Amino acid sequence: MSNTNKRYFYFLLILIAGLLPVVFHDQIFLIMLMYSSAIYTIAVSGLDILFGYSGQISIGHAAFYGIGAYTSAILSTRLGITPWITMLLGGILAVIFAVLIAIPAVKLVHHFLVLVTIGFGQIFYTFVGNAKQLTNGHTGIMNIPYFKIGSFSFNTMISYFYVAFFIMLMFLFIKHKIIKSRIGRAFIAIRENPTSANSSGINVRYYKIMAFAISAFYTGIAGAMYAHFTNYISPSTFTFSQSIIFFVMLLVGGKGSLFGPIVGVVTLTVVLQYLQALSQYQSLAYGAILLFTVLFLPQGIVGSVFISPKKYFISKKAV
Amino acid sequence: MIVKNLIGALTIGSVYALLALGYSLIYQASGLMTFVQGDLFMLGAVVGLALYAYLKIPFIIAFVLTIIGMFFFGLLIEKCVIRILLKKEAAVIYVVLSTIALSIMLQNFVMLVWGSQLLFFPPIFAVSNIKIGSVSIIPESLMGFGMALVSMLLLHIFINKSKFGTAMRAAAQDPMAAATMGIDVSKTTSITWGISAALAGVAGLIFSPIYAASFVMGVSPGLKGFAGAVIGGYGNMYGAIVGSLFLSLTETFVAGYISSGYKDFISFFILILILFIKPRGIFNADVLGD
Amino acid sequence: MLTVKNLTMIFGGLTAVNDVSFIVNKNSIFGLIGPNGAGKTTLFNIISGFLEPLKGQIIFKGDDIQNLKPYQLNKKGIARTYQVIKIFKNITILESVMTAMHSRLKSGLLAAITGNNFLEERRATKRALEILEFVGLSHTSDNLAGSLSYGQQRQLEIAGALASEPSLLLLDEPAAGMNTKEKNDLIKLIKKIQDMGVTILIIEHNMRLIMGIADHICVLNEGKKIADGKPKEIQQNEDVIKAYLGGGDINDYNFRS
Repeated sequence: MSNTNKRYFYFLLILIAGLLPVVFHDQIFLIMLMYSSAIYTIAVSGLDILFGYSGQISIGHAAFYGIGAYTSAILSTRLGITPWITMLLGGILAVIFAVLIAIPAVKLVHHFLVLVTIGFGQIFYTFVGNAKQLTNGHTGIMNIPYFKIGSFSFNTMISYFYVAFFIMLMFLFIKHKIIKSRIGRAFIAIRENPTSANSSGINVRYYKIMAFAISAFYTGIAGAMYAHFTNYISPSTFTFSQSIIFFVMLLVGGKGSLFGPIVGVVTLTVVLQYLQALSQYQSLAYGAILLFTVLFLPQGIVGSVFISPKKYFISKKAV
Repeated sequence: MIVKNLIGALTIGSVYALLALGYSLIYQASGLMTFVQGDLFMLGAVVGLALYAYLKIPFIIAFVLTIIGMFFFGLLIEKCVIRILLKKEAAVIYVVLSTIALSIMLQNFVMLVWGSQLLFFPPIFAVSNIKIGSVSIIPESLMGFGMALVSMLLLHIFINKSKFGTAMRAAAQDPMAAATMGIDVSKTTSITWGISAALAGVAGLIFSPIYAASFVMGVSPGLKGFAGAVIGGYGNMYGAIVGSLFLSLTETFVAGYISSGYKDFISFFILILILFIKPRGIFNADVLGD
Repeated sequence: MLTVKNLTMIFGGLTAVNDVSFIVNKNSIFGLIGPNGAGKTTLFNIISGFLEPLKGQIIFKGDDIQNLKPYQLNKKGIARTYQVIKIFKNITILESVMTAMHSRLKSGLLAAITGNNFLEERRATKRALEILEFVGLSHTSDNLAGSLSYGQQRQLEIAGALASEPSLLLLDEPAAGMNTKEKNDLIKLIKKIQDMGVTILIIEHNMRLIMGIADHICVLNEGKKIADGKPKEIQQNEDVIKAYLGGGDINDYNFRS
């Protein structure tokens, strides 16, 4: 597909996705799925920058999701600051924590890095559950304000969708720009061969930390949006399970691609709708899907389906 | 009071130690990391409970059956999951992810079968507590100690003195050289996974008679066993024991004298601190750092 | 161009590099040879920033560089290839070369997001294609790096090294695993690079190759320098011959080019 045709195709996709809620405006459930998918897509795209592009694993991203959510919730409910700003602050605070963790952590080998991220996730969860003065502990924070522009309040599901959709498009565009740039190439080099990246002039440590920072920003913003749409947050959302969900969505959809996260989010959301009736089987299903994907489909759906034959031709003389 | 805390700390410490030994054993033998130890711990506890409490099999027999079962389950995991990934030359991260997936599946499977409530172990001994000096101890605690010590001793003898143990150590140090000497490296790797699972099972049967069992009981100890292994030097057997005891003592005394809500917080904090400052742990493990 | 002074490196009980000193002249091809285990790769790892020497100094273009990291050395103008070829397998060949231009480009995160990197990217793409042309790979620029043959992978690795516009190029056994045709192509390429003005430091086991292209050779044995001079002198040096008879490859005995 030529570049111009590609652009028309994307434009069409965006148009269709954008118009769906208008057409099906009375299908509340569908609209809810759509806006939650948009939020998840942002969060998972962030995780993709970290894992799919710079090759670093995090199974603690629920913490960044939570930092975004809690920061935005606390600042908007206690200080009355407008959600747009508190959302941004939430993202920034997530970045700050990510950098603080990343600075000592990026030198660690895979398995230990995973452990640090898991530990960080646990620490965050324990903290918000216990710091009652700040976070209301397990009771949670209620009456989180809606996004507003002037006197118009974004308080219906359709409005949630459009906010999330618009921000998602922006973030996907930014991700695309980053990937195609010198920064993106640095990330990929680190993923493919850190030694070679280093001698090619890339400050591996610096870029690893940057990947963490960008990743946390995306997920933090997603968390803040979540807070202002559901108007109530509690520690129970920001658990290890949530981190796993993000990761499974990324892996199933296809890491290291723009569409992978979208595909993964939608696929898993749909699959889990079918399991709604059997809600106690949900987690088991996640585990099984993760195992299956790891064993048989590590490139994810996007990675397996969209292979260009020319690219995968291995020369007969290859050693 | 202190003595009571100490006993509790040592009991938990031996649980963490057995889990930590499992982690270090697998790492030493195959350089792999596993996240399913905690859930094998849980599985051992639950299966042992089922045999003893529901099928009314005498405890000793239930214990032995559980350990054997756990051993074979460990072999099964290695054969059906780990080996497939290693054959595909998948990146280490995928092995880690597969064990995380298994962990999730085990937990939820047990929850579906046994429910989500706490499962209590019926008493094993006729007496409900033994008095040593001015302190009263639950006999299950003493039994737990004994089981831990015996297991560690057997493990030590097996690894260092038996022919198989030597083969295992050889395969761990240099798989290629070992293979040329006729050692079946994949067999030694499988057995390592089997032993680790069995150790987790023992830990489960130390823990649950005293503290009860539930489908989530493995999450925290699993991570703490891991922490114990890291603190002592990941891959180092003696380090695993020392690190775990250190962790449990710190934890118990923090909970006793500061706050119990933050107990987990402290453990993870220590873990992260060690990883940042001295990832090689107390005994300077050969951590393949970047 | 490069002065190595009293470089010493000890691992545990083993002295891998023992008080080695030599000078590499600008725009020359300098060969580093020696039997297996002589310490050549360790020396390379020190010069390219992966190891810090216990003792000694390395002076490049007038600055002390023994404590700098690989990416810093790249910026200063030192690039290297590896005995076991290191490339980025899952990206295209063009992207590989552009990646290696990292230290010569400037666009950061902000420029990427706002699109201000457009002109730089265009320039970089053009330059990358030129480099690929130079090494002989321009016809494959859209293929994945992993699909190349062994010889082509080496060419790509060298293209990557050239992308950072180095003044000094370190080649670690570049001819390893190559057939005759590939070796001859390599020799031509190395000469072309020298013609461009680059100084080349090369470790090689293949005596004929080294004697054929080196302007100056330094011989290491068991971590120590045992000879230093023009190829003809080295070929007749008794210590060198003894060192190789003592433990070198049978194939390396043909010193004459």
